[in-house]
Amino acid sequence: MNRRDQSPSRQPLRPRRRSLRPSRRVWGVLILGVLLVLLICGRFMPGEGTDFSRALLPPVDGGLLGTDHFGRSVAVTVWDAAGGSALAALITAAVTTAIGAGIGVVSTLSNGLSKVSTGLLIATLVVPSMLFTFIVVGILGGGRTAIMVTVALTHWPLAAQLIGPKVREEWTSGWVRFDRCLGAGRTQILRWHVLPAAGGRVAAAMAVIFPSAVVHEATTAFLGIGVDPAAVSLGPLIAWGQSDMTVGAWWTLVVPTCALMVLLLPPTILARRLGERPRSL
Amino acid sequence: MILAGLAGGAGVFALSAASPSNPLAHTVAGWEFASAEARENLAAAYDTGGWPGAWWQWLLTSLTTGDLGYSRLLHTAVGEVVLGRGLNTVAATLCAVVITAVIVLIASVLLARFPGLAHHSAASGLIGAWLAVPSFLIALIIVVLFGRQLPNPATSAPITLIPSVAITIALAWSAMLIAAARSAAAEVWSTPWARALIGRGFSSTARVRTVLPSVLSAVRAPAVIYVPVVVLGEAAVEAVLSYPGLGNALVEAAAGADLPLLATVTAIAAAVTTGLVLGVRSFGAGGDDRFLVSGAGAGGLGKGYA
Repeated sequence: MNRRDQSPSRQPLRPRRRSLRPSRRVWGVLILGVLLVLLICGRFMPGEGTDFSRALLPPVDGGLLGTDHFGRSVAVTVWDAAGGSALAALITAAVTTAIGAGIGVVSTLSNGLSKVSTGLLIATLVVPSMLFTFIVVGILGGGRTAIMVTVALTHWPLAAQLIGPKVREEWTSGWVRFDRCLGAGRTQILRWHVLPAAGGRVAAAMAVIFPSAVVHEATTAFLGIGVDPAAVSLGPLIAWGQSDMTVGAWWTLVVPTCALMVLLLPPTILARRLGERPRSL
Repeated sequence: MILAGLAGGAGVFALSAASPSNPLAHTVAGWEFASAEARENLAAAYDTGGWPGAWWQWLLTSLTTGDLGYSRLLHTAVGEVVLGRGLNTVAATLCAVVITAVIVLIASVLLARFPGLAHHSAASGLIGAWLAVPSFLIALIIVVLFGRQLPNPATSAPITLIPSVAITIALAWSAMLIAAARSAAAEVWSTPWARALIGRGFSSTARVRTVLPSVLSAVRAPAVIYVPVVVLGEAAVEAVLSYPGLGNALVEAAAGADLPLLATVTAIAAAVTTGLVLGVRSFGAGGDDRFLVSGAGAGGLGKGYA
């Protein structure tokens, strides 16, 4: 056998293979978008009333995915809950990313503001975000809205950290200096260079914050902290499902758990892919 | 900035100690030795002053009484709750640290041994999926799958519950650390120097010996910084598994708006996090970062070889 074929240099350490090419990324974002729209539609479907005579009917007998503790269709209830979580998390991710990006951009323009934003960033890191959510929601109440506000308060540094350096890099690039020499103003430079370049980072930040918001909401609601009893949420559905498991109603636990994973898995994987090589988006 | 915050916090405590509005300022020690009038004053302050007033009252009493206030839900001094349940949490955390260290070490050795693993999309997807599972779901899965084998929390000693709590926390924690290790390994294996290890025919043992320190050094800082995040953030795990730890007490306190207990746990979390962050920043620098590329220069030579 040829010696070269046996040499370690022939081992498959190939150049980095792009695991998700730009077109596939776009497909990923599109599919995620369609999934979100479908889920959010569930939020606006007519809800089902309680009917204890139909409580805990198994799938097929009680509709597609059976009925829950209150005799409601599990499919409809879970769709409603997942839609609510998705909508709230989407709004939270957008607002948080906007706040983080704003602070990241503003801190780029001035050294003083940069120090202030760094100080705020360190302050938010002092208390773990889940603990902060428990405290605020436990004391102030406010349900899902309060949870989302705490997520925004604790997660904006992440967006600022992702977007800020990119903005700084663009701001000091040769193209920007060239445009400045030609008389372009700050607004124009932001519009022409900085915002388009930071687009990938914005998507990455949203993809990271979205699942985090869903987890905070589901965990807090699962533990029954500051939950509005009338609100339908995946957390309480999973908690009820856990108790219903003791009487063999596995579908009441499995379906909301799967719905939660459907909400969490795609954005988490997408966030990892975007975070790995955000420049090439 | 952090030191200024700490100094500010100490100042607030000093002011609260000297404040004449402190209902327990003149008692000798603790809730249990306070007069009935002082207890009524404090309870009224907690109930009627709203949460800012209650928070302030906690600040006032925590220093002057030495017992960190009175937990209305658990009907005992918060200091006793922290001491009793805190030890349970520390025990579970230590076990979780050991299990996590073993898991992460095995994963790091594999990443250092097999260059393709760090870049494999399936490995990335698997870690992404693992990261996506919330910790309370991991605990729930353990309860559902092994519920009959788990000891009854109502009748068993806390020590018998430690393995399930520690394994759950370790599973949640190691996902983050393995993700960090994989990113570091991917960076290391992208450098020309690391490729040369293979090109020049170094043995797999030599590869592991050379690459592993860089991978482990990338894991070290997040492992330390995430300790309070994991321990107190995994309160849900303790709640699901009914483990009598500080996290479970925190969940009960949050659900019942028991402010003294909440405030104490928050203060402990803030102090521990700040201490760890300062420790990592002061003493955590160094390590074998020859292969780790710096910042935006992905794909280039490491710092030591640039």
